[in-house]
Amino acid sequence: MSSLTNKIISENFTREKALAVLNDKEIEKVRELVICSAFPLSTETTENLCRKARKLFNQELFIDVKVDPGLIGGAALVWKGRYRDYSLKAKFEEKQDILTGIYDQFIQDRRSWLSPEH
Amino acid sequence: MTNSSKTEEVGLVRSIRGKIALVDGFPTIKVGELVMGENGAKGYIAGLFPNWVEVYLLTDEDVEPGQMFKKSGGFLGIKAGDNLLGRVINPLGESLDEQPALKDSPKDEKIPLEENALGISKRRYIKEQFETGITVIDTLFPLGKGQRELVIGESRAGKTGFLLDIIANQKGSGVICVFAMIGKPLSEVRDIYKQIKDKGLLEHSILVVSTSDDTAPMSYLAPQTAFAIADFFRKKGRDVLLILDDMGIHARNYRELSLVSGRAPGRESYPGDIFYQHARLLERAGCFADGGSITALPVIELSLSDFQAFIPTNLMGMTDGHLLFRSDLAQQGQTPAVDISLSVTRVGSQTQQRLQNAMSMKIKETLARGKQFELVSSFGTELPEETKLILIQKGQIEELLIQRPGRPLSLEMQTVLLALPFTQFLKNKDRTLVKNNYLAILDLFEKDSTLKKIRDEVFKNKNIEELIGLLDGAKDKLEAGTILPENTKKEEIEEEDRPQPIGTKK
Repeated sequence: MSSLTNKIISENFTREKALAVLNDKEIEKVRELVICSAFPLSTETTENLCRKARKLFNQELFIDVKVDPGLIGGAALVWKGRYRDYSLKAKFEEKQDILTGIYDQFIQDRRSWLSPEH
Repeated sequence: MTNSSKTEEVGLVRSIRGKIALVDGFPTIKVGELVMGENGAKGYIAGLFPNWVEVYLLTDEDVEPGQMFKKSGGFLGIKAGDNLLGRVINPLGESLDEQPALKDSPKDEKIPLEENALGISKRRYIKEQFETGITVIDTLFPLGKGQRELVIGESRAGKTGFLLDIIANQKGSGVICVFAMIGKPLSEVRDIYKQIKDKGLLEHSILVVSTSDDTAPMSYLAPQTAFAIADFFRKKGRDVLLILDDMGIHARNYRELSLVSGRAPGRESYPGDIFYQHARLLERAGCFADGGSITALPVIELSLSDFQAFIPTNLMGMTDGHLLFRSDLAQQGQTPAVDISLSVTRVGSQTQQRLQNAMSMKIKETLARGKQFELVSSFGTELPEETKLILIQKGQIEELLIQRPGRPLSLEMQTVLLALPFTQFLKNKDRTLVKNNYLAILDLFEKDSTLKKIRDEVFKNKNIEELIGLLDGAKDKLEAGTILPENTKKEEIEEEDRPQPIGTKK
């Protein structure tokens, strides 16, 4: 983590401040955005992403970044109880019939190429 | 941002309390929907609150805050079909026995666990007797098809053995037996399954099992699953016997869930709606207009020193009678160990033949008078002949009410047997004569044509006196077929067949 982040945490994460946050009713109104990524993100990428998300949604957010290698690539978002999948895995699932059709055709072509009559 | 290719509802775990997860999200979810966590944890929605939904966890996987839950499709329910017969399943319908996993068949139906009980207009008057084959039940505390009779008693009083005997005696009768074991130890489940299997009872039985190491929500669902299966067969016009063992554990599991989820505790820390939870279950039993019936035998253990405990009195209030089992009677060799003075059936009498009813009243009167006279006789005073006769008859009746293992009796045989103490054949004879000749008497009524005719046509008699008259006429045949007290060798052989008190080593 960057030294700037460490400094911020060490100065602000005291017992009184943590309890003040937990008791703050305003905290309950802050929504949570979960970003599921296929691979671990660097601190810089995470901070950029969070900055852009806050700007896009135009409100205070709790952002949670999770790693899910099953997504293969891309990301998925969870916002207000809805999971929106923009990952490569979802694309593959969407095109599953086309992809398996191409694969089956390839196998068939290989078999016919390797057959004794050919 | 490009359009999403896939959108679904999810929830994120906020906190865990025992086996209850508070989940944020799921904007349009309904109570009863099934959900699954990232690590395969299964649960269902039990409550909807402004800021979270309550998920009851059904499996043992660890759930942590921040974990995501997705809908796994559908509501709480199981797939029911004839392939359930002979199987042991958990409350989710998954098989637990060593047989292959349950396969789906086109005839299977997905049935919900929760269903409202049918109203009055959909029910029939209970007029058919549910035959258990056990003399003390069928004659003194008869059950009707569709009745709810509470089986209540102390630990080690023989309740489970009694229930297994009833299941065994339904073999070949077309009655389907659903046995729900709620929160029972694995060893006990294994033992009961082995007994049912060894006696060849699996073909007409289904076991719904939640063990003591299952989660509290799983044990909470067990009776609902059992009722759902019973309803499935009842709708096909079948008669179903449903045993719920034991409702006290169910109540304790529901109490645990309610306390953990923060609901206000009531009497004995049970939630305020515990009566409703049990009543809405038991109301699903009954005798229905479209054919079929569900006869329910809920079981609860209680200590006789605390007869006014909360849950047992609740259950007594929502059933049609109760059978009280006592461990001291079991230790004396009385099988089943039912306390005749404290047991009740509110519905069964209307299902009996007139003669059976009359016999039942006569037996109870004799036993009650005999009990009173026993108190007087203990002072050692000289008793009048009539009093001595009552005491002798009481002893003989008690011997006749002891059920021999593996010998269920027809209603006709029970009636004839219980008339014998009032005949010349057993007049002033010691109870040991009955004890030593019980099986011989049963065989006589099977083999001798005169006695067989008396037995088969017993309900044609207008009253007990007419029946007694017929039996007096056949006194010679009865005496010829029974063993006199001098013949000790045969007595020892018959003694082995008599049920032994609990704890006796053979």
